[in-house]
Amino acid sequence: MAWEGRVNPMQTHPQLNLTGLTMAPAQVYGGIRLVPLLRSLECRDVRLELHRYQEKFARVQLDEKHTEYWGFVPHGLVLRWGEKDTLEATMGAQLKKVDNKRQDCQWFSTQTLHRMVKRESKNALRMLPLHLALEGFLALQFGGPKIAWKEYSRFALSHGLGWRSETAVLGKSIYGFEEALKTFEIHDGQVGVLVFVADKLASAVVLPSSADYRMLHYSLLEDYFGELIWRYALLYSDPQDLEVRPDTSQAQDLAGLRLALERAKQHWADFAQNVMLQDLVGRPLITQKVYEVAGMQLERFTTELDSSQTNTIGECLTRADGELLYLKTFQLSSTQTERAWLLRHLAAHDWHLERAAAAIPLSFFAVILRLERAGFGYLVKPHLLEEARRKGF
Amino acid sequence: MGEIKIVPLELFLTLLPSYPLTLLKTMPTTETITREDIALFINACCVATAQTEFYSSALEQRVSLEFLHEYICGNYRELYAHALNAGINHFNMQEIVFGLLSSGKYCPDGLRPSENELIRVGLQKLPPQRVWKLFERLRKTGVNNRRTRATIRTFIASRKDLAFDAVKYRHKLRSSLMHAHINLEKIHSSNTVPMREKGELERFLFEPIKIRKKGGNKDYAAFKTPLLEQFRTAHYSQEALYHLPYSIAEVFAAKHGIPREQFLAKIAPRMTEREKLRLQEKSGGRLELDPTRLSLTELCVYLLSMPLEERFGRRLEIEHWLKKSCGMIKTFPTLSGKIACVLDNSYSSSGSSQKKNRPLALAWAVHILIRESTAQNTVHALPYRAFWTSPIVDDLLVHARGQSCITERFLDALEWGATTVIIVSDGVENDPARAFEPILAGYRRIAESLGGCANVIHLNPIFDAELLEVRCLAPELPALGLRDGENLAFTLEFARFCGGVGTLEELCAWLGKGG
Repeated sequence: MAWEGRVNPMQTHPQLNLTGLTMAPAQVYGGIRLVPLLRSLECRDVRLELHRYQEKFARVQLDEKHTEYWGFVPHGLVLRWGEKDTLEATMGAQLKKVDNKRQDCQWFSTQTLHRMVKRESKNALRMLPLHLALEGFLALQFGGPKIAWKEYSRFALSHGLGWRSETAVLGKSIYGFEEALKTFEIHDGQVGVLVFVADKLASAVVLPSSADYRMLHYSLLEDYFGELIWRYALLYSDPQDLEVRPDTSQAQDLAGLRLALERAKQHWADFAQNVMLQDLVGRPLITQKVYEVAGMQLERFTTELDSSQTNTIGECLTRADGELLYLKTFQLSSTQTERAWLLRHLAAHDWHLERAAAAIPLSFFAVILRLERAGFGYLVKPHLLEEARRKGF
Repeated sequence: MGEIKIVPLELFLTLLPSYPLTLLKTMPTTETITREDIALFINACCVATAQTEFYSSALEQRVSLEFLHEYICGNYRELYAHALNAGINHFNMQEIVFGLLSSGKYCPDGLRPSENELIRVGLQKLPPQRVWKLFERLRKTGVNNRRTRATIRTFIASRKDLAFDAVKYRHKLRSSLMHAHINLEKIHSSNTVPMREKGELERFLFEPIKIRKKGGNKDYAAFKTPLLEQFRTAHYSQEALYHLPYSIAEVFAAKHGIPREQFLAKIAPRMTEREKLRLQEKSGGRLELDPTRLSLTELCVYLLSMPLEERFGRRLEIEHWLKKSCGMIKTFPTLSGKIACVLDNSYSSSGSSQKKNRPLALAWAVHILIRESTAQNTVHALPYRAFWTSPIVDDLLVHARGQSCITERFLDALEWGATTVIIVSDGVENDPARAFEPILAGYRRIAESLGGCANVIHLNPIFDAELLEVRCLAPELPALGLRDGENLAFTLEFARFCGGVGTLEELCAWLGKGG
């Protein structure tokens, strides 16, 4: 059940690299700001296409030990690669093999998918976008304590964390997001978009080619977002005026005016990269390799968990030369960060509660209460919980 | 209808003696406000149709437009009525007539005769289906004053072929007659196609069609007027329905279960060009349409609905249609110097489901019109070039795609050396947003050193529901509402009242003489 044995270990990676992508001026609708990402060098040998699933629930078999991931998976992505210029973006009818097992229950239907990432053919790989990242997040320290310290409950010692769940909000339910996507004007050569809600980075999406982006533009509605983003969209529908105006005071001729316009665009790109993206770019990442194929590496990552900042999880596909082919991110809420932080902190101290408490520093019972508030009360023996509650830390 | 009155500035001064004088000097006069309000209103009335637009819903459009009508009707009633003459679109003419008739008690006695005349002339200009719809609305909203009844009576009396109206708009005509308490026998009618039998029309409208003759005869009571009789027979006979107007025949065809193809083939001679245009796509081109009879804007909308391959394949035909359509236009705009058009074919110009491709079609129509008028210039052909926001290789293959980079194309046009730049855009920029304003200001500052400032005109085919006006690219460059391509000369004439060149008196005189 412990995921460490199942997949590759985690690595600390310097930071996310957006080189080769330029940011075009933002398009604002209500509280939602969409920043187009353009690729200077069109990628012609890798394609991502959408694969829709109709069922209400998807059950993903993660390993041979019957670890399962359950969730609402409206679509998957199929990565195809080939020689240069041999791939075309396809739209609509394609003959596909029905590869998943479907099961009808009384009021819902499920389908069983085998693995988060699965090789479909010689040059195709199917993955479940964002679920891949979230699964990594949920499986964090899933095995539970490795040493049977006496504070842990019998359940924790025999089943680890047992099961974990997190909630997220579907793009469709974010106020104004559908309209924002509908009125968005896709640039030529656009391969991705940064979604800001109330100027908070909700998601960053990068795809291999502009044709893919055109196909997958509306699929953003079926991606999921942090709960805070949903709240922000409702609360802050008036965005700040962040537009950069060209400064023409120095211009003496038409070339000067054009230069002013170019400068304004450049200013915006710098501002977006350095200020608006500070939740993501420049942050140290903890990455984990998921799949490696044809010189490309599929990874999932989380920013180093820091409770004073917004933390993000995501997944990316990069080439060996560092070119970013695919990226999707999800913003964690503070409670989600807290949960992940606690688990990692405990693991760092070999799950020894007293040592972990001393490192924070907090008292032993305060840590137990903190665990309970984060939803991990079931890991600790009941009499300790009761004592902690009585002491009221 | 609310009574919103503008306080004259003099009175305002007496009310606020301590108001800082410096501010007062910069405050606009009543005359300026009036001129601006009316210019804004007429601009909006040229483009707004209360339908869904790319950036706003039908409801938003309707609410904004309703407010605008109430505000102008409440404050400037005389000018509001005169707007019927100002070349505005049919939807807003309908709204104005409704506004005037439903707020008759606020009309000063002195204005009544001229207002009545404006309404009468306005209704004659509208297509009949719109007038019948307006009468229906008057009935439903319970507007039934003496003037409304007289208006309906005058309109019905002026109809040339009432039997046709009775068949095509049976329900609406009947309800109008009831609403206005009209006795058809008593009104002096200009009906040029008289009924064959007295009282026949009343029988047609108010009695069931399938009534049997008195005296137990098995035959149903026939009409003597051919069209009415065909309507009656169409209930039983498949052949008779092909003599009826298309929209009516369609219902009978469904009733008799006639296959659609067979029906369309046989009804085609009875169809108007617009009906054929509407059905082009659904009939798969089986209906023969004569595109040379369409107006330039309609033709452009039709062409944009064609797939790119078809446009490419039928190039010669299409160019012929466009030439013919331009040939029907009476007045071309007077232009001089080097002319450049900055045309918006960004994704937003694809319009909405209700106004598909309309903004793009208007931009294209303006382009074709100006291309033709510069080529046909009496002395020598004027240099002309079009700058599409998303450049296209071939004019015929224009389609909506990409972002709105108006400012960049504007600079391209200036670099080319244009002396007149006509911008057709919905006023929304996003690459980068609102960059046009500083660039235009910068250009005007340095223009003298570059050898004279180019004349810039912004035409906007969209009403912005949020701003209650047609959106401008820069406050110094007021946008002109563009109703359709073929009326460009007329729209440009109106430009001086938006820019503050023309005074209020001139505006009133312009409205008075009918635009």
